[in-house]
Amino acid sequence: MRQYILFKDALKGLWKENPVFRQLLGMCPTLAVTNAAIFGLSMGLATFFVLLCSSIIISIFRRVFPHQVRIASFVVIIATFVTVVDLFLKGNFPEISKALGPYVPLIVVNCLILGRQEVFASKNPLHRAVADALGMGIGFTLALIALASIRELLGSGTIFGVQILTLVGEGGRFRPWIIMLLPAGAFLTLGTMIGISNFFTGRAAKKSACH
Amino acid sequence: MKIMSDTVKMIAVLTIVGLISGGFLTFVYEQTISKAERKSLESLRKAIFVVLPEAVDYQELKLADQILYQGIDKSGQKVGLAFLVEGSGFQGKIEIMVGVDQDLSRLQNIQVLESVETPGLGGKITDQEFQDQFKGIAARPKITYVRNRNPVTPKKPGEIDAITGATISSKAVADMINKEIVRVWEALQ
Repeated sequence: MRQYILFKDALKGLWKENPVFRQLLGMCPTLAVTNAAIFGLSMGLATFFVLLCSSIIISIFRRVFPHQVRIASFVVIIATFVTVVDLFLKGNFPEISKALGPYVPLIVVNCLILGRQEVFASKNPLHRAVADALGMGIGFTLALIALASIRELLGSGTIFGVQILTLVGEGGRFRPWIIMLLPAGAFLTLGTMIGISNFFTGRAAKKSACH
Repeated sequence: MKIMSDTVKMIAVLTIVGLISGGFLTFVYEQTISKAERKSLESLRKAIFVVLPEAVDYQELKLADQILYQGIDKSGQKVGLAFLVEGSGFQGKIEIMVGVDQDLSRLQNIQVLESVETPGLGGKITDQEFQDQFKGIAARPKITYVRNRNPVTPKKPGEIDAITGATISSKAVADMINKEIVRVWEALQ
């Protein structure tokens, strides 16, 4: 039974409560940095790390925080881990750090993270908080990679820098859709993906209603 | 009395959270920052040798408010000057390392170090193809750009082709190099 609950805690972040497609949380990085798959992956992992670490700390000390200052404490803890990620990227991956620019420090205000602390980690024991953070973090990362891969494929003909579609200039037939790399492309792709995910969820709901 | 102890607890918890976070961050900062600085210094060094192809070593010359890198070849001859150029592009800061002849008459090469221009349009200023246009062109009276060049008209000295659809970024690059060369020239007089 206990394992079943843990499994459910982790699994809900992947699809049923996916932060991007179902909860529409963390839209700022989702839209801003997903014009290449590698940036989607980096942003996803950075958010994942911050979410997991904050959930662990906050779940362990959940009885210590006085109710009136809990949000302030959560934000300080989240900001600490965000700064760690920011410094780590600057020191080890300066290229990625430059490309993500202000969006790494902005993870502090990603409502996905504060939301999970307030709704889940501050009310549940450590193992469930970890399961929840794993699910939400992986769900967020996968959603960003999917979105970024589509935009990179249509916008530059590559995925993770590997040429998939041959460009006109190199003897192929593909002309890059520059718009997919611009902010408008993020809205178009995200809207379409949410539409598709709603279509399938709606169908599943109808099916289960029949039974 | 109850209120008092609540207040004390709030202050205590926030203070402790702040102190621990601050201490932890100081530690992480110490660990990583030297690495980050070394990396950026390294990319600066590499850029100097890219823009001054004959140089094997360089010296820093500190002027009133700018730093010049004096390129030196194997036999100790001065082979040109390199300096950093900064300016605003279409979306944000552009930073370019520029290499010029000793008398500032000719550009040897440029390398764009930092830019946040629109990918696919202004972002092409970081493409080799665009940067190569600056190789060996006359720097005086100034670098100019043309849009939609007729392929049969020959290039004038000091002229580059603007990127289609990104005239602002192309203009920004030419303008900021022109401005800095004048500044360096004046400072050296």
